Amino acid sequence: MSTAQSPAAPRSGTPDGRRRVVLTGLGAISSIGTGVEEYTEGLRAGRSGARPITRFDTEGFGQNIACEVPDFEPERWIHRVPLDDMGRAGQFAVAAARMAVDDAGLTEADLGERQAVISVGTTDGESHDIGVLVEQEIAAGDPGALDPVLSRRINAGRLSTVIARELRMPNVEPTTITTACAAGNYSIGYGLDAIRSGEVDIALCGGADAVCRKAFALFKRFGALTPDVVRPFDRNRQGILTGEGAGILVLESLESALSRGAHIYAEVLGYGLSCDAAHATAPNRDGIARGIRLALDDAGVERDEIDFISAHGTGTKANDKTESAAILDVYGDSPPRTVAVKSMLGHSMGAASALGAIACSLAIENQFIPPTINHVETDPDCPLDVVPNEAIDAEVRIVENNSSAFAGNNAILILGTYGERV
Amino acid sequence: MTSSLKSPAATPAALPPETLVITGWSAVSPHGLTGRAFAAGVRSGAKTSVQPDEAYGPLPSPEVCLVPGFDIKGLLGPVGTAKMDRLTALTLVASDGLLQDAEGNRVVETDGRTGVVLGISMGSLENVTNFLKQSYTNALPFHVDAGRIPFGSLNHAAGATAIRHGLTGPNTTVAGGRVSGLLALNYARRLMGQGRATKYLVGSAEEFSAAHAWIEHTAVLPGDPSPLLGEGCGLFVVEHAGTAQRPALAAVLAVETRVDIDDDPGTAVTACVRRALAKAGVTADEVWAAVPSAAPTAAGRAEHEALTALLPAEALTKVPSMELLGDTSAAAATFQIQAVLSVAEGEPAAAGRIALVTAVDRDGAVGCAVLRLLDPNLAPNSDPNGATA
Amino acid sequence: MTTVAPERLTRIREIIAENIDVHSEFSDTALFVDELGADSLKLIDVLSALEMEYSIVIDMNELPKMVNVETTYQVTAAAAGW
Repeated sequence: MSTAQSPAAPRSGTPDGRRRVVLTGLGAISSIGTGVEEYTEGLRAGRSGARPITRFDTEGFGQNIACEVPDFEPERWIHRVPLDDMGRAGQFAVAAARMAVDDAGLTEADLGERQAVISVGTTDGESHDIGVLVEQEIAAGDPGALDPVLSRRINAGRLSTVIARELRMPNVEPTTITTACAAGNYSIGYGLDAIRSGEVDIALCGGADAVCRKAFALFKRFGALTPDVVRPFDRNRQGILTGEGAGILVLESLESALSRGAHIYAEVLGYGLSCDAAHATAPNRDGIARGIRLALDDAGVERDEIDFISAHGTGTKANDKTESAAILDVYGDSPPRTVAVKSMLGHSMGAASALGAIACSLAIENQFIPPTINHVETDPDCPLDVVPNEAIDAEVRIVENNSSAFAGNNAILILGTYGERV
Repeated sequence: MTSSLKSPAATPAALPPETLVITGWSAVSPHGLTGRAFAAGVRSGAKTSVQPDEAYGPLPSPEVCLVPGFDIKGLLGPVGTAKMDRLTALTLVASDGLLQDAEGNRVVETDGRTGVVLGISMGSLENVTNFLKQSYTNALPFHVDAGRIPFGSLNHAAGATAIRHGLTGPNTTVAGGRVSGLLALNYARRLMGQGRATKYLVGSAEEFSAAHAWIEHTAVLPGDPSPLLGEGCGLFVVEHAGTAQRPALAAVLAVETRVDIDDDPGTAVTACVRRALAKAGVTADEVWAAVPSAAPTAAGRAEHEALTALLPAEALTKVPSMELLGDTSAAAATFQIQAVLSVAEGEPAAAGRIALVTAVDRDGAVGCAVLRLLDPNLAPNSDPNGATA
Repeated sequence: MTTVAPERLTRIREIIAENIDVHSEFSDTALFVDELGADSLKLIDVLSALEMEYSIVIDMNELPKMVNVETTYQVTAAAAGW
């Protein structure tokens, strides 16, 4: 636990009377570490999650690296719902949710009949299972030769409902958000709005995705898959690695957190959503910049208050250049340090911005900035201090977490120190 | 209870200004391509099931409730449609019907803070399964049709709607199967309540495909029949009563959702309906029309039984069963609300009355919306003919 | 340079038209991006369709050379060993 900090200065623009929302529990499953402790170590050490793919046959692809979660043990976290009732993405989501509520010190008795939002973001849901179903059909030469167990569990809505079933929380709104690679931030934002509205005191939000052939083939086809490692903002970046995992955060009204003496990692200060309405897959400078401005306004934060940006930073030519330009549009010539945790985690799709948000929370908690690893030479098109290769200790009070997705969906989240920390 | 006088509650002006109101809707459904066709089909109780074209290949069920005459290129033009998935096309045609008149003139104003939220199940299963089949069977595993890739993203239909109509406000896709239409409506309500959008296009969509049919067929639980599937997209314009630019057709008084954690959908529906009624501030006796999802499952039967036990018997007979559209999965809950609006449009006595819609989904989500039906003729500048596409 | 096989050229024209979504006549020297409105992703669609049609692999680094029908034919022919 970090040392006590001075109360945060009042921020301009925060409407009076708006309920404050804080993060009291974190659950992380990632290729660089599972659980708050391991994940923090991974971020600090600049660990790489890249490893050979085991989840599907990569023959013919000419490459076989992704950021898989090694040695995932779902039975450690999932006690009630049969493991077959969900695919790997669902298992990640449930396990991370269990971790998050445990971390928050919330028992099932605390949760029980409480009204809550459970919102999991995802890009591909259980598309790995859909791949297996397609294989079954091909092997049998019969479209009806599908395993019913898989057929029943492929819909993305299950990612949220299965958490409710495992944690015995019937009185919840289970809103899975499928805004692709921005879904994690969307879900956290939705939880923020639900608590701000006064309708709930608690929300379990984040994202989950599992490595699958669909995503791998897609990015390979687009020429956006790096053959070795992810080098965001580097002159010689070659693309993404697909990744997987889950990040679930416990969002709680400040009064609820204080009343039960919960540990507070950070405050959710605000978020912004923008839609490019321009191109189906290409990132859009104006759309990203508008999302950042909306988030800063919602949070009541000035630009010079941002201590670092956790970028979308995928490591593709197009994203990093476009995102850098958008950041400079908003911040001018002296932008905050801007790091890409995808250099370590790969692109965990719907989980990505949730794991990014957890990284930001841990940076605030532990007063450091995670690095952008594999960095050799900063691209002149991305003139940013990316905190290359080594984490740094720094005073971190307010952080921006970016995400963008196909279909022109941008979601930007602002987290900050909860100043009156006990 | 019947009175010749209009209840004051039927007047949109009597609503608190932050009340979410439905000010327009469109439907691309097995009844046809427009809201008008949907309304006429619902009111007549028309059957919609047909024998599907042989081009679908083998299917598990001899009949399906398809959107008739849904020719993507004919409806949306040749550009950008050659590789478009059906889900996106259904949504785009519905969005045209929502925002434009028959001549293609924009009749709903939008601005930079107009949002879009669409409910789905799992996007276009045809797109994703064909993509994977190519990957598995072609000479190389990345020999896949790149031009179809964007359409396989679960958020594509909502994003394409934004591109088509220039909508740069919050753009979201939510997944929850049959409950997704209610999740989307609640999402729009929340974000508007927080000032993130001034108006929303909100609804839900499902496409029929052989892939969807076989997955649904094999997913059937023991004892349930193989479903007669439907498809389509329903969309609403929702605004705040105080700032609505068009006549309000209904006020959204409550949207409640829940998860059936005990494999007891009847109890979950009962709890959800009770909470929704309480939040709406109305009693079960006041419900004039109730429309369950009519899912062809044990959960669907339990849903019906729960409503029968809770609500006046005549409420459940006001609107013809949604079975007539087939199991439209993600599109269902939106169609249910639109079915009530269709029936109410033809019944002057409906204005001011309460309508209730419920949904149950295989994944355990349960939802209930409570609406107050309004008489759009009582609104200033009323144009009831423009209210439905 | 290889000899142009007319039936292959016809098929390649069709593939290009379909994938860059052009619905009117265009010449073999019309520039995909500047004259036909294609973006870089449409060019990947063309490349992937050609790969599938002829069961070949075209190096992504060849994309910048595929500026019109003529040069696309050449790149395809080289990859296919025609």
